[in-house]
Amino acid sequence: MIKEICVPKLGAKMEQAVLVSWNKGVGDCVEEGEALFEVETDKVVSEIEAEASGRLSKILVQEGEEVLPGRVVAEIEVAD
Amino acid sequence: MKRAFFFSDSQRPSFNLALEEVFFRNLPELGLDGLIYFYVNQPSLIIGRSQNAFREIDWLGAEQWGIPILRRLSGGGAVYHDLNNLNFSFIVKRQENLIINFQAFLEPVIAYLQSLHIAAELSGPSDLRVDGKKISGNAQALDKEVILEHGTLLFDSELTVLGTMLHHRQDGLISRSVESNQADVANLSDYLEAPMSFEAFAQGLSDFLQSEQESLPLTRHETLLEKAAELEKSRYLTRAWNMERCAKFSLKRQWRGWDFSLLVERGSISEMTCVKTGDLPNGSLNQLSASEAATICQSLQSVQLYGPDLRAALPFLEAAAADSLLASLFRPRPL
Repeated sequence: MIKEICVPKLGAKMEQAVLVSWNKGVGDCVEEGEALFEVETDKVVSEIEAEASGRLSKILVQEGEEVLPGRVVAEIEVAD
Repeated sequence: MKRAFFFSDSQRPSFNLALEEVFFRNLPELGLDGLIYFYVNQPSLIIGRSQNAFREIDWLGAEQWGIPILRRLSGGGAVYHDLNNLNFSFIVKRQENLIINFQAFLEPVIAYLQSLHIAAELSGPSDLRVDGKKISGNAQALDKEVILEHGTLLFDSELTVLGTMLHHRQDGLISRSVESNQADVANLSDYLEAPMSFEAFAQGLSDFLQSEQESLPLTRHETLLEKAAELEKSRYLTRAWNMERCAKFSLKRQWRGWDFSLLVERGSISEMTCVKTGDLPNGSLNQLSASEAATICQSLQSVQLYGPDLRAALPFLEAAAADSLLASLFRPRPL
């Protein structure tokens, strides 16, 4: 089963953000709650945790790209 | 509410940033709800997490002057630290209403400045300004359990050094990175009614914050200091973290009748080409020949910008010519 990973909305004021870095690469195992990527918005850098355990099967947004809250940035293959 | 206070006795920016990260990552394990951390750094330039140091800073000048450049965990722009700038850090358990909320963290700092009859205001939304001039820049970092909010307080810093290092234009440089906001800055000491030492100022803020909400001195911190020393070595003293961790960027600059185009990836020149701009006036003796321009491009291929390799790659140029080339390629222009 594929779980889509999205950019969360950090606080009411968040508008656009930059995806700063990926902590994992395609093919890596990911545990729920583990830091998966970081975004920067309005002088705030936030680590975003994986919401599921599985294998990171796709990265859809590269480091340095601008993203809006809700954007799908990756997919995790969750073990059924 | 269990809160602690710690004032670093190191002035090494690499150590102080490492200790800040150790506090940030270990707050829950320390059994604390919050921690206030103060530190003062020797002259240094601190860039935000997503910045390109080669764009934001006159890095060649900083290297020549021995001013280190470090990357912090939080977002935002580049700042200058020296021994008359106070860094304060609030590290607290994560609450959603505190995210991107600088007002909440800075209220007590503003109140302290007001007690000194300095009318500081939140501006922008994370700067503190007096009379329209920036005296404090702030930023945040957060993970699933902890928020770090930190800022500078320019008390009596060398603003001319700050200006030279940070306030400039980078013509011909294209970089996909967070850019600094070059603000008019001022020192708090200019606004004091009566002279005050930096030490008294820092002690005053420390006392004020601790009286607002009870804080205890941090105990059993030897392990934390050891962790900080390790992290200092593995991260904050490395070129890989401080300088090279940025997206690739391109640069187009002119020197002695030629246009040089460079692509820089992970802090090294990955591509360099040149095109003749046109003859310099009156057949100037400084005009490079095609073979000289090509030699420069070939010699700088794959060379790391920051560190000794750059200059060492140009042994065929006289010292003054090498200086002139590097300045033209890599130094920013004044505003």
